[in-house]
Amino acid sequence: MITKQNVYLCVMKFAKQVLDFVRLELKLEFRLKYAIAGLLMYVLSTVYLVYFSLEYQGVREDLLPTIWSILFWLIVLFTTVNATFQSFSKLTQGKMLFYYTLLSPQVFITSKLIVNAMISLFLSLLTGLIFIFILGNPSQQAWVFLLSLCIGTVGYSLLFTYISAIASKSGGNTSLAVVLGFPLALPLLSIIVKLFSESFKPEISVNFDNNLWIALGFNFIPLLLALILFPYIWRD
Amino acid sequence: MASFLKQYWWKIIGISFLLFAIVGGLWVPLYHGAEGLSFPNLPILNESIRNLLYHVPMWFAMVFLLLLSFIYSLSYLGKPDRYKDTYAAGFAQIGVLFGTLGIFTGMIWAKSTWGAFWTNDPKLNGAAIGMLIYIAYLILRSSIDDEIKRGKLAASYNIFAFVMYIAFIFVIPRLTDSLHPGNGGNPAFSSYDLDNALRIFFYPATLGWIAISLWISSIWIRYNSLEQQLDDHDE
Repeated sequence: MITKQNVYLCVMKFAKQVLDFVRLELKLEFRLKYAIAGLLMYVLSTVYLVYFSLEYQGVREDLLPTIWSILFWLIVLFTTVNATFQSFSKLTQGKMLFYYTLLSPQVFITSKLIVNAMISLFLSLLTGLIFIFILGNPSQQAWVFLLSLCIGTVGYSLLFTYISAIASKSGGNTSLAVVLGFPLALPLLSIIVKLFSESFKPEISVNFDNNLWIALGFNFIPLLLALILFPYIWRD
Repeated sequence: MASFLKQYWWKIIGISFLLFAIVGGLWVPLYHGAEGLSFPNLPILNESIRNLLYHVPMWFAMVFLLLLSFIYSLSYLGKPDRYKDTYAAGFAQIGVLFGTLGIFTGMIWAKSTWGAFWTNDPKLNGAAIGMLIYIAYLILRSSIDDEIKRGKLAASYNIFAFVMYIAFIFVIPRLTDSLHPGNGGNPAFSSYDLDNALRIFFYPATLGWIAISLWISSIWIRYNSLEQQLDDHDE
């Protein structure tokens, strides 16, 4: 029977399961240090490559803020693809079977979305910090910078979590996830770069709120679609 | 659907509409002061206004086919069946074909009116992204051998991509100005579509191109399912 209390109990049970699974995933992530260390190395070496090529061309000193943000978002995009794809590709057949008997698909995908968002956020904040450290800080409004960074990164990780689930189920590699995901990531990218560049000006423009809602919408759509569609591809 | 695709009447209507639109679209003169049936003679557009009967209906046909593909994917996830997967794939493939035709006719038009084959226009970018999405869909299909798995994953990607794409083409033109009619100070589409002479040919052209696209898809889908049956027979 559907009563208020039953719904409440169901939601609480769901939230508890998700929390437990998120905790387990994070614990595993930090126990298997090679995964997160690999991602850190990926970020560090890419940023160093950017730094080196800019320095070598002699353009690091007077780098345009727009170039700064484009380089930054490209690195975040590739890091997010790698991080989310890894979270599926390291699941072995046996482990999948184990989860399959234990969890509902909604719990599984919700926890994956949360864990991937956390890891991607951590990595992109780190990328931002290193960027500010070596390429200078072009932003004049810190809150716009941080807000758009968070929304953009979370949006990417939500999108690529589902795309990675498809790509890893099909037995492909990261490049398949890139092929499948990048056309879909372009809309969010174009809006986020717009939002992000607002932080380079002393004041936000009138369109800021509008663009912010659109960016949040592009976070919400992949989230909803992933929750609806994942149960169909969950079983092998 | 299958029985509808086998019928003749809509193919005959489609062909005759298309012939009417192509012959009429080339035959009717531009307005030159005289009485009688004529297309509006607009600056910049000039004779290229006739491309309205090719470029725009081709996009309509593409959107129509992609919508059909989306519907078959939805129904595949609801109740998996092999023919639905074949239909979804076939419609998407011919949709990509019509999208490419739409891009090429648009590029010729853009060269003569805007002066370049490709401009940084939100609608052009939207079209390019749409093509990339559906080519990615076809790559995903070709990368999976197992039939049931392919059906499931391709259907779920198709639904995911279609919803994202629709959201995108509704949102992006609102962010920046477009060179297309009705945006950024350009005359709206209806201001020259309202011209009755053009309208007489535009609506049949739209229906005709959609019918042709459906016909091509039905032949392609039949070819594909026959090939599948042959494969099964060999095994």
